[in-house]
Amino acid sequence: MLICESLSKHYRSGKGTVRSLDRVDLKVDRGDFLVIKGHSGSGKTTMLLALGAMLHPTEGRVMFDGKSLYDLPQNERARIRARSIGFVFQMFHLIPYLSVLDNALTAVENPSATESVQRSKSLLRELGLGDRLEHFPHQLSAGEKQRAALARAMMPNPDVILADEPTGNLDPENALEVCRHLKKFQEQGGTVVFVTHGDAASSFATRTISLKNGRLLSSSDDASDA
Amino acid sequence: MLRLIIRELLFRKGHALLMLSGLVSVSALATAYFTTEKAATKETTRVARDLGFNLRILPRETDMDAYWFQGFSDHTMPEASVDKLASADGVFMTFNHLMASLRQKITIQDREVVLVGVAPTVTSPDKKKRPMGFSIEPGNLHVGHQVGLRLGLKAGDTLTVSGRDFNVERVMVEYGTEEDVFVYGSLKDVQALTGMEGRINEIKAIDCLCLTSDQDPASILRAELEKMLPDAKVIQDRVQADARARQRQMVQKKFAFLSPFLMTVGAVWVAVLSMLNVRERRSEIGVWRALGKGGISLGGMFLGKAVLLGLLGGLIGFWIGNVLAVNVGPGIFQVTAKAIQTEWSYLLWSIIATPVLAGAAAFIPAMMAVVQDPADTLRES
Repeated sequence: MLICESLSKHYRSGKGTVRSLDRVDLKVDRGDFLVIKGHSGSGKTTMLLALGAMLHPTEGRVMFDGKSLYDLPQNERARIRARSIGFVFQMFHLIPYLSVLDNALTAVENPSATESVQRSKSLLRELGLGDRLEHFPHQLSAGEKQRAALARAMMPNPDVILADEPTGNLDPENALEVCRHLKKFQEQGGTVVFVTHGDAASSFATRTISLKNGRLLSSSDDASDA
Repeated sequence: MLRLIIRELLFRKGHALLMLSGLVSVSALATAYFTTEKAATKETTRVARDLGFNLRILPRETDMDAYWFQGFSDHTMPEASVDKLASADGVFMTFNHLMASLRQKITIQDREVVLVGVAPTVTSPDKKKRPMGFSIEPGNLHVGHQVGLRLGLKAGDTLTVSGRDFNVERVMVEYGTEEDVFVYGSLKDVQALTGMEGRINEIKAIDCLCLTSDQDPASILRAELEKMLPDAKVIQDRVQADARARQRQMVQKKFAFLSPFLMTVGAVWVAVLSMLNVRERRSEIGVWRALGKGGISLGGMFLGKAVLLGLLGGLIGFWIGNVLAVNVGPGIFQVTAKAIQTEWSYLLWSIIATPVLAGAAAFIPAMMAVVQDPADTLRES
């Protein structure tokens, strides 16, 4: 479903060129729960943003369902993001002036439609936020914020969820819960790409890869089976 | 989108209030200023008009030496000249408030006075302006201060002129000019008394030219009159014309300075606050991008916010500005106090111009939000 071909992203800085990603080849199949591990600065987030049609690579290409993402016009990439890709961030990035329910509804094209509202409520209840629908992000705990962000990512029923350190700001219990919800999404036919520097998600992964200095180091299949 | 904008406004109340206060200030100051300025313009027009006629249209053959010595022309022209002039194409673009008169010296009780017959003033039919000058009903006279003093006259007395009795309608106040020895009557009466039926020897008028200092009004007026009334010539009271022009230009200059100043201050205020808003919402912009929102939606959120605040600011600003102008203005601008009143036409201007100003000022910040690389903000945070 997602294929990276010789993907590179270079930045210019005062100290010269930084190779955030360096000729990475990667294939993500439908139904994968791929964990990308690496230390800070290894290129994980860059990789995730490039996969999510958010960051134009310096070289190489990203194929999504057979289409080269960065050869598409900008509005077409935006449409793919809106319909097929969900994002979850370490810092949650909920819209601070919208309630939990409205945050989840930001991910759909017609937020005032009855079916959208019903689906949003049902999803939030599934994620344990049934009594938090009208609360604002600042009234939630970190775990609740991340579950609200997860609901937003799942709302359009995307093909893939790209999660950038989603457990980075959570205690072990909440981290586990978020991983469980992502696993459930994957088991229902979705695809998850989970970027982390920790081990919390390893037991849920169907495959784990490591990045170091922008290069792919290793790949292990079916870690969860191990 | 409107719902999102309102939610954001309510969430960042401090920022919204700052932006709104700037727009309200601009709108209020503009409303107060324009309201008092309009009053000042009205008052200027009144003051300028009260300065009196500044043009004298005389028979072409008038000997100007004799005219200035005796105060009227020895020659006459047909009374119909006024109608001919008033019906000429575009006359009221140049000349207005046309008052025909006949002046002659006569003797009343052994002393010479200037008898002046005046016809009702003719003004442009398009402009509903109160005619300048005054009209006198046949059988009545307005007596100059010095004549009244010498003859011991008061309003309601009878004065006999050339064997005919007239009612003294008014004894004029002391002007300190030659008018103190004038006796005014209706044109028809004076024509009959002097045996000059159907004749006049002067048309007074006001010029409507709004010229700059490098233009010569006299040559323009002469050229125009030549086309309309070739048997006449025009003399301009230059001192009075210059005073009128200076007064008018002074008001216009004040206006020309203050309005761009107000607009610039307001625009900078909105632009700076909008930029701060864009900076503050960097990560939010990144998230909207990640959610698939396009540039139009994003730009619309920032422009829409500015326009909405502009609309609100325009309404509140008009109200405050009007209250300021009507209640505080008379205390500050005492000369024009009576002319200051609510100008409802400025409400429409305020609710159109303030959102336009806010939108224009927020345009660049909105574009900054649109072109911002979402990956940068999401990677940073």
